[in-house]
Amino acid sequence: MLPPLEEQFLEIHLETLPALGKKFTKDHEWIVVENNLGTVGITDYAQKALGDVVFVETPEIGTVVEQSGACGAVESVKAASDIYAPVSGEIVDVNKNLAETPGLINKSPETDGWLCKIKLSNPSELNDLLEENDYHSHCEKSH
Amino acid sequence: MALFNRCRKNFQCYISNLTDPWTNLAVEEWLFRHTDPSIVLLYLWRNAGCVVIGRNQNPWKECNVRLLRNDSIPIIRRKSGGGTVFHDLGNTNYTVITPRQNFTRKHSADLVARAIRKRFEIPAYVNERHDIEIEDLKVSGSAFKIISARAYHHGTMLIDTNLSHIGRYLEIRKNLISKGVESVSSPVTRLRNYSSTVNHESFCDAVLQEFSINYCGNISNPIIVDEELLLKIPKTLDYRDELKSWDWTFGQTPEFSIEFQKTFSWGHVVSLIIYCIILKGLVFMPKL
Repeated sequence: MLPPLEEQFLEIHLETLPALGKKFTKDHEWIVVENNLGTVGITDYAQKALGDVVFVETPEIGTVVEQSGACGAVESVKAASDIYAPVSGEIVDVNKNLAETPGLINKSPETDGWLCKIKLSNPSELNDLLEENDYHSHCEKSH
Repeated sequence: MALFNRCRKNFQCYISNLTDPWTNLAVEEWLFRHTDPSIVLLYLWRNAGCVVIGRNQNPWKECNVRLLRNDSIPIIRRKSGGGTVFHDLGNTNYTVITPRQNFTRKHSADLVARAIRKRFEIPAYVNERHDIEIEDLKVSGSAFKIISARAYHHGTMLIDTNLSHIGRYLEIRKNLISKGVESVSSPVTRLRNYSSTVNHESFCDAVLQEFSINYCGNISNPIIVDEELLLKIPKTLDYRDELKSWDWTFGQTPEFSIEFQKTFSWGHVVSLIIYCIILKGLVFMPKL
């Protein structure tokens, strides 16, 4: 016996909802939030501009960061580049693989090459960030 | 002929009269973070004898720390990436600060090389690593830094540096394995080997001319950085203190390990690796 039509509709609707999608900053960081925990990294656009990454300076666990505050840095063959926190909160984890394999940032900047995890102190700050389409338009304008 | 400063206010040059390396780097940091990001800045400076390592380098790997201490030559860690260099009064540094979206590694190096060719008739050119060379020998290396609104390119220029000091003080230690960034050595030369008229003042003048013609169409007057100007920008003292601290200079060294080997008379080689991280001081742990 099928569940009532309304319930079927709700199930389908929930399944087709996108996961809380990636959001972006104008400085080319991305963040994905789940249960108030944000995973942060730099975008594919940024890693291409930087070139081969040779060293990653991750923030210290326990550090409290403010939105747009410094949150680590990346050194590539081209430049040393500061990274900025997309949202305020506390750093609760960093990607230890980057110490051995900084090139992860070039290979998978938006998945395995994540930089740190932030426990959000002000989730409404996510509204200040760009959606994917707006971020890509922003990148095209910068060219 | 009178020099007119009708430059559109999109370019300004600063020339330092000071030779204290921490002060010059502090001024650079101040210019980078506390001036109008829309203005292109050219900063020309030189340091008394010192060794400058990149942001993520290991001083014990890159240079002879004990010898430098004995010879009273300081080690300084800069904020940009890249490798280790030796500075003395025969080396002039240039910093070009631009809005971030205009950041390019090539443009500033091209202008400096062109200034050298035009003023001194020395055949300088920019190679694929954005170093400036003369006949396959390096005279200038570069490093770069990017923040939110701005970026800078700074470089050295060997005018009449004592080249023997480079070999004496910069020596890569092979048994030290660093997670940081390693220098890439190159054979070097000096501008003075190609011209008897080149010196710090004439080099600065040539570079200033080339940059100001490029950015404003005519010659721009430089602002002189001296003790009097420093009094007006006390923030530079904070930057200087940070740069001079042990925590920054040595404490920022990435994790590293040192391998010791000993061959015993019975032919057995024993290898011991000490794993080092710096927290509030140097921490050693044997790696098992």
